[in-house]
Amino acid sequence: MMLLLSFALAQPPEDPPAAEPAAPASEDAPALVPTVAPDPTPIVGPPAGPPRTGAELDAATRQIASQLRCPVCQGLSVADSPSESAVAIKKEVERLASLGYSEEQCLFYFEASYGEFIRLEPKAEGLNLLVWGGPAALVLVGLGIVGWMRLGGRKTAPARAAVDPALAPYVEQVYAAVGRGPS
Amino acid sequence: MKRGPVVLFGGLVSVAVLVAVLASGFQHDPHEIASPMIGKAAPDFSLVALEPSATGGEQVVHLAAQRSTPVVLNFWATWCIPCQQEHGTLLAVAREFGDKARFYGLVYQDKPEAIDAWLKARGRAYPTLIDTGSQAAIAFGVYGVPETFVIDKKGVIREKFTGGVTFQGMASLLNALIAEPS
Repeated sequence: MMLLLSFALAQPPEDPPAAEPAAPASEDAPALVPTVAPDPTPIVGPPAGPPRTGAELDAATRQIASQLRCPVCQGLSVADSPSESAVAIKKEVERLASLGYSEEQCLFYFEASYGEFIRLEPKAEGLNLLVWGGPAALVLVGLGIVGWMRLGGRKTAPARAAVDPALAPYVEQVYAAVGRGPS
Repeated sequence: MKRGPVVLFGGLVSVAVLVAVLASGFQHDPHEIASPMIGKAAPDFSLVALEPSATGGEQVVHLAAQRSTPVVLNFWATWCIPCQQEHGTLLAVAREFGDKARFYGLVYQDKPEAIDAWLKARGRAYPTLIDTGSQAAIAFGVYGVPETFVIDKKGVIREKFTGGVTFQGMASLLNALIAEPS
């Protein structure tokens, strides 16, 4: 049901404009760049590790982005989506990772603003346990019902009617023909 | 025990559970996700406005410096049809409450030249901030546009409107926030 969210709000066009500095409208026009990016420290505390660069940064970015849900897609991770929103989040992940924030700090930072929906996989706690354990529980219940019905079926099978002594030889012939005797 | 009643009972229980889940789900608008930001301090940012300052220079807006009055942040874009529909309402609210609250439009994934043309055609009543890289949108957990956040005098996010706002809804909320002590 949550996936329907993507229809609720207007989303960027398929070929969104490239993120580029604004063309100044006049000589006094602003440069149109943010002077201060939002600081994650009040939410997740100081970076847990040293700054990352190079291949380590790329790997951490990929690892974290693959666990975040693209907010304008259906079932795609930020790492896999080419949408502008996903690209922006991936850049923010890269910025946080480069500063040394841990994987869990990064995930928590996005969860604090978007809610748990931003996690591609819900945490295995609370009601979420229904998601994780529900299918296995249903399989067990199903197997239990099947087993109970098979066992109950044997116990509750209707008793054979008493055989007329005059017909007994014929009944025996029938049992012999089908290869089984009376239960 | 006979199987028939047991199977029937199990089926009824299963259907009852399914109906309960669906009934619960249908009571919520699937288009809305409750923002975890409500009741939390608004994330700070500094963004440059499209419009120059009163002196003609660059107008930089620091959100943290906007305390003591309620603040309305409207995330929008020119390619967003609901944004066009709510723009007139926001202009009316801003003109009604402009001296008691601050209004900012934060443009989301758009081109400055398109924004300028759009505003010239439809009017403007408050500064337009360019959210380069969508960093402010990410900090506020914006899923799409339009989304409008209302921040109280202490810098706490009190409400988030997903989709177009109404004059009455905004007015009643702003009246309540304006009446609160600083």
